[in-house]
Amino acid sequence: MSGPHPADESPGPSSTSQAAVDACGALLVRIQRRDEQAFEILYREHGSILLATILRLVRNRSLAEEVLQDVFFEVWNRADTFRADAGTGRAWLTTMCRRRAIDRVRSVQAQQNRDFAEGIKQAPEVEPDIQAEALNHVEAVRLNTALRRLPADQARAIAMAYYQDLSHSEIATALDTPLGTVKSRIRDGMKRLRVQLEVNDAR
Amino acid sequence: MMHADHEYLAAGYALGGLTAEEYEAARSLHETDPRFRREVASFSDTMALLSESDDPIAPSSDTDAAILGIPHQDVPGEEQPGPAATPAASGPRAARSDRDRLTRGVFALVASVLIIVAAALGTMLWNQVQQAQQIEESLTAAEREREQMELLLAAPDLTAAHAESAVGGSVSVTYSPDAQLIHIVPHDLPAPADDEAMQMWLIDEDGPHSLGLMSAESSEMLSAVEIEEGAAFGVTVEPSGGSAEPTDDPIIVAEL
Repeated sequence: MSGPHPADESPGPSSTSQAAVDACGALLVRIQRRDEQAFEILYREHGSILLATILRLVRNRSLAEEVLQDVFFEVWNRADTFRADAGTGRAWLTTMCRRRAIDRVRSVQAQQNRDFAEGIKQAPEVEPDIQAEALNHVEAVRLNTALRRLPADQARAIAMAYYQDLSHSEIATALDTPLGTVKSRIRDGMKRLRVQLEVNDAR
Repeated sequence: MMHADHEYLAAGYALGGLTAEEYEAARSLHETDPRFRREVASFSDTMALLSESDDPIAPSSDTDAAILGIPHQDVPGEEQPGPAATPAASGPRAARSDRDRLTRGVFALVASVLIIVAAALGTMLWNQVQQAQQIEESLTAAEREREQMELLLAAPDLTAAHAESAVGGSVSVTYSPDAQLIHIVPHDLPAPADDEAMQMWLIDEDGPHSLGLMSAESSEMLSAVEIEEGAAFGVTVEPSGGSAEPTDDPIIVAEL
């Protein structure tokens, strides 16, 4: 999977001033000092929305709760990899959720593929239906308020990359669109999304 | 304004989907270019805010308990050193006494017994975990079929058909084109020979489409079946494992 890995963030000076305006980041800084109360507050305040984020990716409630446990285990044991100057605490948590969820989806998919190969060898081979996957993403687009405000082609490309971790060339194939166009849609869509959500990039 | 290529790399770095080369280029920029790093952080924040547009889902009480208990768990690598990790005693020692040797012998014996007990318990635990997984899978399958049955029974276009088999017995076919579900119940169907299997087909204008194998005894719920106007449900006897196309006349045909 691509995208910034929480553990990959380059070390930088811990920024207490930024953490002060980023409540989630401030909790993570306290968790770095093994503050159990901060850990509980972080979970109470963010567990529900993170579970929703994970569920959108794994689409199975019990799997999603397992992933949430993995994420908070990592939060407690690897909070020191959070750097306030490399993004907000929420961004760090969301990236971790997405990475863990996609790992779990791939693991389950690999097991299903093994079961399929073992148990149903006589069944006619089924080609991966990328069009059907694309339709799933349309559903993801429809469900998401912020993405819904984007032009449909930009929203679809972003949803396909984010929710199912398709590469941009896979998206281009699925949508029968030139790769360069997909790249433009991703870039323009992300910029427009940032403006809509009013992310302050003057950090 | 940042270069368009760098903007794309920053967006893709936060979002995902870059090629290996692009990812490497983005990672390099992320390490060396503070402006690029800010751009990535900004896009990452965007994705975090995007996920906030989902409706929160309260974790179960079990998950609550498991997560809130994490700070009290032993962390791998932070355990108290065990006997094997105990540093060697410093300085030379006098020869061990007989009592020391006896003690070590008793400890060795106890350790051997513990290893055997641990192995037995481990095997039992493994078996229990396997059984629990099987039960969970069965429950999940049963729950899925129950949900599909509810959906089928509630479908406004629910229809039932009954067809006699050419080799004896019959099947009931209950279906809903809207719900794309077909439920098959066999009645007194003779079981196929050991080297044969009964295969279900949906027959429409384009010809027969396999719906998989069926048992002579148990019912089947088929989901995601697109039932066209004028289609028929059929069953043929095929070589064990089934066929890509029917190899014989159907023993059952039910007009849908």
